[in-house]
Amino acid sequence: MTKISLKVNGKMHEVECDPATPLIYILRNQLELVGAKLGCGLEQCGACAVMVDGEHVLSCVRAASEFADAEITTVEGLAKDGKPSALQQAFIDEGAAQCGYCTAGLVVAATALLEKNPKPDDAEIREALHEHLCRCGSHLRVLKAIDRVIQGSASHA
Amino acid sequence: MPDSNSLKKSPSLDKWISIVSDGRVLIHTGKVDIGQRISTALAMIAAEELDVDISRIDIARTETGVDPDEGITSGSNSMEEAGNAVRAASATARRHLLSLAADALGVDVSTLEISDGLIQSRGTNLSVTYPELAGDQTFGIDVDPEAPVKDPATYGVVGKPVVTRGLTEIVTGQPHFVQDMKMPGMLHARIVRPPHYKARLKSLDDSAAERITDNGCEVVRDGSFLAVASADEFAAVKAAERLFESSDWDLGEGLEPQDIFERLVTNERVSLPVVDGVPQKEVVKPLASPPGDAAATLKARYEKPYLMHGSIGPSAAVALADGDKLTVWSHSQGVYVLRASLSEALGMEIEDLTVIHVPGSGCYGHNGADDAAVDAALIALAIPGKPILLKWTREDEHAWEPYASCMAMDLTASIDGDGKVIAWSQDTYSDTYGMRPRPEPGGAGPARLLAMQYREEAVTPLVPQPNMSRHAGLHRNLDPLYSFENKRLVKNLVRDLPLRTSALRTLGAFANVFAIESFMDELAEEAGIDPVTFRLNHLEDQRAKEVLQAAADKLGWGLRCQKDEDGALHLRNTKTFKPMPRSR
Repeated sequence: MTKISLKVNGKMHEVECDPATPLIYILRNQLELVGAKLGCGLEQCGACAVMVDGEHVLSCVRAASEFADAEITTVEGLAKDGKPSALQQAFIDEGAAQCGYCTAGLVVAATALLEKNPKPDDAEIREALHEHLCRCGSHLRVLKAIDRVIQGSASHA
Repeated sequence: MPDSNSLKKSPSLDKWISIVSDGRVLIHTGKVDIGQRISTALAMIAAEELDVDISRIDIARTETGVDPDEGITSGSNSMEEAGNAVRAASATARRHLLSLAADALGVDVSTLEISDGLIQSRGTNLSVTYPELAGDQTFGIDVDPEAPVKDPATYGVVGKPVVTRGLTEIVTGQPHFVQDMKMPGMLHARIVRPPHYKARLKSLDDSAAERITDNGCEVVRDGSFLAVASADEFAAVKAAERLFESSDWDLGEGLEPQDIFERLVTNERVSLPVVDGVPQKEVVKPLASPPGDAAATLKARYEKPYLMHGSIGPSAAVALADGDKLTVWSHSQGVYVLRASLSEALGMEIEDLTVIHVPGSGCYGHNGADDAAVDAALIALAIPGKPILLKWTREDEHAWEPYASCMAMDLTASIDGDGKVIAWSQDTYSDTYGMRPRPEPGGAGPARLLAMQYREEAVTPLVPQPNMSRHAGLHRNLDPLYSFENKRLVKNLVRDLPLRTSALRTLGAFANVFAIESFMDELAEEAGIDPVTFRLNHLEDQRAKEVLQAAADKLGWGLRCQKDEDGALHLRNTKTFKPMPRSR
């Protein structure tokens, strides 16, 4: 057991854990941030995605200790002042989820994309999301939700 | 309204609706959210018929002993069953509350109007609210299935867009799923699976098991059912791996590699003729020779492999044994059915068991949900007083969930010189689609639960009997939509196939329809007739004809086909066949 410091959604946390513990268990169990989901535990489905220093990272395999000193943002950290982000609101407005188990991962992936590239083209969006599996088939609505945000930011520009 | 099993089982209005003192309305149902968001639809219906703003309608989690027993949430029956029941219950409640209001205000009921639970008498300043009328009283009446419901033309909620229930929580990462549950003192558990179905645990390396328990993990063993639990989830994950490495399994004969489609048609089977979609307890007639006027006779075999549900979140459950009581939180599609089978499997009184529905990942039929609930229950009983959150791993889900059966469809048909089908035969071969843990005589419920096969007192897996209902199980849609005079249809329930199977969307239907429609194309080509025309020539059902024609028109089918000099069909006019526009 070792102590590690993690900065998650702008707050510092000290946690004691086996240093090999994958980040997702620390987030979900110690920090009670259950937005990231365990889908495969093999970095193959995308349900566990978080942002680390703005990069899209899967949290189910890599040890939490790798992320000391990094800025971790989970899907819970995207809302501002208790209000869903524009992208989260677009997911809600488009009904871009069926069961919703993969949704938080998709929201994180799309947020990471839009932060880097506010006006991605279709190929760039698909490339950014292509590792995110959805067994219910919500993909087209997810694309619509992202498009809604791109169009929205274009109209405000 | 149509005859309602839901209301027959739970006639009391109080079973369906509670008016809460803060003006919220709690709707109770036995149908559960499995990704399809039935709760949103039911909230809309209740809001509409009760005249209460939808934001103040709550849908209770289904809990055995509290909420209505509506069987299993499956087969697209939820709107028909729960939807109609909630509609009648809401209409009954509205009428009852109006009558209470008329008495309370001393006015005629015809003067009353309702807006968001506030009842006002026209032309006066008299008003009263639902919670004021309800007080702390229950309704104390039965749902009247004939209570007048609103004219759909006046609907203000149903048919209008609403934000689906739970979506905001999901999108912002709030707890929603059974996998997200957290309770004081909770332990995380994992199952140590055998190397394959038929393997049985011979021995455990005691020193390895001791090291695991010294490390703060609990080891649970009941025969070949093996599990670990720990307050730390990652410790449980590692302990399960170590325990597997230190376990010795009797592999028996193992699983033989064989061509599954060969086994489907050669294994022992129960064969039944199907007439008007219904299996008959009669001897199957052998396939006859082609009729004398047959111009051509074709044969084809179509195959469908095993399919997994493959839910994106592996199955999970929470269980807590407290004294004589056991509570299970599960994403099962049928909490009452599961409770009954748990009672039988665990030898517990039904009153001592509670099953509460909490959503899991999307469910497309009978996945690992019920099996995970039993796993969690067994671990909780071995570690009483501590809530157990058991998560299946991805490997568990892929390897141990009940699959949709593999199938083979053998078709033979003859056409006459005019291109009319004059003989049609289909044999469908499949394992069962009906392994949900329904309690049935002879311990059929427990015999369908995975863990029961591995306990010290092991239960032999159920040998399924053929489903004899109309268009059910593997023979769903085996009887084609087309009108053929001379049909031979055979359901073959095949024994001794290697994998566990149960319900997945549409059961045998889509494989049967795929085979029928593919074969119709073959026959149309043989007859030299446009495949749409060929189908229309064999359809009597007017609605089906119109649907087919509408689909053909939308696709710009029209004159797509023409014959060349050799009589072969070719596509033409392909410009009218536009690809679907991209949706974004």
